[in-house]
Amino acid sequence: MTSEARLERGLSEWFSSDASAHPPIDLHASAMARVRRARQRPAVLVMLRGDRLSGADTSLGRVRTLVFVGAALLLVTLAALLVVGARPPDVAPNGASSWITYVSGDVSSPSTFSIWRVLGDGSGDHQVGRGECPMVSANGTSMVFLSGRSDDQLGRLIAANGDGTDQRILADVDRSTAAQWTAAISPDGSAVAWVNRVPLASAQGNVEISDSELWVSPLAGGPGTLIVPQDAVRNFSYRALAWANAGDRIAIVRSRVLYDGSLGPRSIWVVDADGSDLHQVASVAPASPSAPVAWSPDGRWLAYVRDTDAGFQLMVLAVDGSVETPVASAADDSRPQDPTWSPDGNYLAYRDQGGIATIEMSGGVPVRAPNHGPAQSGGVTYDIGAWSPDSRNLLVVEAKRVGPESEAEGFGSRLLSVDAALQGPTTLVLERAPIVGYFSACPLSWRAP
Amino acid sequence: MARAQRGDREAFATLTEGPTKRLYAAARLILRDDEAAADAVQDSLVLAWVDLRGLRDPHLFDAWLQRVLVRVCHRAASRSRGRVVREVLAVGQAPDTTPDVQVEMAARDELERGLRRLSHDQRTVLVVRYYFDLPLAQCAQVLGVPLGTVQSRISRALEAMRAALEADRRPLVLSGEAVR
Repeated sequence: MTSEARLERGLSEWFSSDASAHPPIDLHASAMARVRRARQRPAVLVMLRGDRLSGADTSLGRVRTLVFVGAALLLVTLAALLVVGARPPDVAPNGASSWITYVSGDVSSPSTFSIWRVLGDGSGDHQVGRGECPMVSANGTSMVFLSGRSDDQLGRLIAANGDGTDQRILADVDRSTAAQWTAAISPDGSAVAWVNRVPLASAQGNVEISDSELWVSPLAGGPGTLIVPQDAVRNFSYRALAWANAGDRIAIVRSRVLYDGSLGPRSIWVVDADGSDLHQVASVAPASPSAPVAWSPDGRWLAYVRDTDAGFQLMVLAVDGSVETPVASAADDSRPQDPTWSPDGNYLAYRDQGGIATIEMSGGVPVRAPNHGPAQSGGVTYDIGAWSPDSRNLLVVEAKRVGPESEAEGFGSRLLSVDAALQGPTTLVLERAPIVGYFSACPLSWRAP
Repeated sequence: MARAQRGDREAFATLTEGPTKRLYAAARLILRDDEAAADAVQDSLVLAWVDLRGLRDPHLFDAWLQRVLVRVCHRAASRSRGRVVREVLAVGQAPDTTPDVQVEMAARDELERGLRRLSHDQRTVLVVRYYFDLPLAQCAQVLGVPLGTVQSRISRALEAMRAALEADRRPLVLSGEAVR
């Protein structure tokens, strides 16, 4: 036996008879305690690290690994480029480079209503469709509006891209009640929530038509979902739909339909977008059945106007019902309406006695626009239009009656831009006679390009 | 194995309870330090759990676990490079004095000293080859090197060990005079 063979045999015998190597008694238990705190890596990551035993050590395996790693790096690079390219800018687009969607038409000729878009700096004004009540999704990708002559009985609900292209018919709509037609587009532009009007039998046996079913329909077509069906016992009317920014919940104002067809007590309800978890968040009466309810951008608060014995009060209500506080107290000369949050959640703007006001939510006091206050001589009134995407500016609709009040024509209207604190100069965005840009359920939109 | 790969920690504990003793013995031979060996085994088991989903062939679990241990030992040795551990016979430790046992202990002691004088890579290849008792091809897999490299490392390790043993057997010479 050679010395090398003896050495090998000696090692084998020593190693195989090595009874002295008793591990510490808790070694395995200690290791398992660490294992309990550790998470397994996905197989693909392990593979990328080359920890596979089989295949990775041969030349072919190495080539395969190199090819795999190369392909993975290429994919990651391409994905990163796509993400960087598609990622929205860190700062929200300013108003000047964002599109305002509004309705224009001759009020003496209802059939001529049309939908227009103009950039916040007043340039690029152009018509995108014929109809009214356009609603543009928060992300600016989609729009829905009502087509047809407003004096026709039947109209159509049209879906389109945010710029008005690719218009397609979603549904027929009863235009006889179009002014009360209630709908809201989802923030991501994928669906529209709308209220269906169904026959209701009154106590006297009369058949009334009321908006008593809430549907969500996809803009891409296909069947809608009935998320709040008609109550089997009591008759309710649903108005003032508002989607939470996350697109997961819808706030509604529910009113009891009385025996004579009028609307009785009102309350605010919230329902998940899939129809689950319908619950009441406030039993107090909003100022009117159609008064808008506004979600805060973070989805935690609802702003609405409450009708109290002392007058109208602008309220902010926690969605879980835990907190409710007035932010603009009722006063003899105050009548808040139509609250809307700035996109960053820092301001709440509302209409007040024909003028506009804002309040800083971090604890400010209501500020009324000095130049856009209550109706002045000449019958000038101001309305909230929309917030710019960067929350710096507020679009204001100025309406001035230039003719006799008894005549329908004669509204001269302008779109103005003011700063959120209502302290800076006013900028004229568009002057167009006439502009009819405001329906209570369909405010203007100012969206990122 | 399938359950462990799906994240069942109890299955993994059952799977690794048996091999732990052998892993510890191997780590102790490679690192020549009991505490470092225990740490290496713990680290190996945790690493094996974390990367278990990357093991394609469940039949190779033992070899794969050994490879994980070898890598962990390599890292531990790199960290402790330059640190010398000296073993001394504890006072009062009475060795067995029967002739056969004495011969065996002397031989083992000689091997241990020889093993300690090898480099980390040389010790590792000998442990993988003769303690895990693996064929050369599997040694290559566990060590993550080509087959030829395994053969040459074993050859050099045995050569270095033999030289170390022979050096041990020679009397220590100081100033040209043998010390007896």
